[in-house]
Amino acid sequence: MTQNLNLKKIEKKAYRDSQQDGLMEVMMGLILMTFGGFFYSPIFAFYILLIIFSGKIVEFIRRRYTHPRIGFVKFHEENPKNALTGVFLFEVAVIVIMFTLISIFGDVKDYSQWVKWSPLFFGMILVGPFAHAASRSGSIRYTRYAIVSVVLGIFFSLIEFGSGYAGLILYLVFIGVFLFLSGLVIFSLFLREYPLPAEGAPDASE
Amino acid sequence: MPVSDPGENDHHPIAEIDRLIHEPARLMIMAYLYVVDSADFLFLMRQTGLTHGNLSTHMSKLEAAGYIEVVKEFVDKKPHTMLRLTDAGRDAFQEYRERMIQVLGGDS
Repeated sequence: MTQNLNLKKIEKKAYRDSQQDGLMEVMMGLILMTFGGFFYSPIFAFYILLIIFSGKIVEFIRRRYTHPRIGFVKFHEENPKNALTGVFLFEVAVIVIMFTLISIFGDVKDYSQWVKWSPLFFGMILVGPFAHAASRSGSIRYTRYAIVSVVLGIFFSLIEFGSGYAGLILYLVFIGVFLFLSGLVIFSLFLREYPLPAEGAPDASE
Repeated sequence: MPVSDPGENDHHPIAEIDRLIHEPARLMIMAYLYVVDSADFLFLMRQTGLTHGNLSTHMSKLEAAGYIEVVKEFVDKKPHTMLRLTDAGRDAFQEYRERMIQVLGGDS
């Protein structure tokens, strides 16, 4: 009981359990894939629509598949001022790291160097949301995603691609597919672990 | 020199523990609702490990005390129960925590 009453642990467990369906990974993967795939495409508008409605889409799927299985929880809203400050400081830190790296390995005034290292830049940017999710949930899964996104970022930055943004586009598609498939696997395991309660079962509602 | 009876004059914090919250199952419900904005019956049942009947009974007691707000609604023609800590419940839980820290010395 004593260990159960650690409020921080309780909050982390509640958050972790609410995210155990893998749908955030599916949506994030989809966004990254389409960002990479549609970067130069005339149907770029599709990507914008996906970003705008991603929350609604996840909510819709959760209402049908997740909430009937594990219930619904709403968390306290984070202070938007603190969140924005955190995001801003993190992005400044990433830019400083990139600036330092490019200074060491190339010329910061050379635009092509920034393009070359852009997969790593995006990889480090992705660390932000993953680190946030890891600290809120205490789940190692998000730490693994953060490591994969940086490692892949380094990998795609080091490979020589003939044309400009090919490395970045391939990176986004690759990490997107990785997250999308991971999310789908987690979602299917989730559906298997939590079958729908039988109609009229006492735990379906109060 | 008269010696006072400690039980008579000392106001021991344990005497002021809220017994309604102190019951383990209700304490768990209050703790879960304290860290979130609101949760439905199924989520609380899964998180606390309480049975439907147990959770329902404790929920009624906490609601009667004004510590939680229970909203019953229909979602897709199915009954759905949402629970949320009231301001009074939040204050009571906070006070309970402080009292327990006083009682236990606050080292844990």
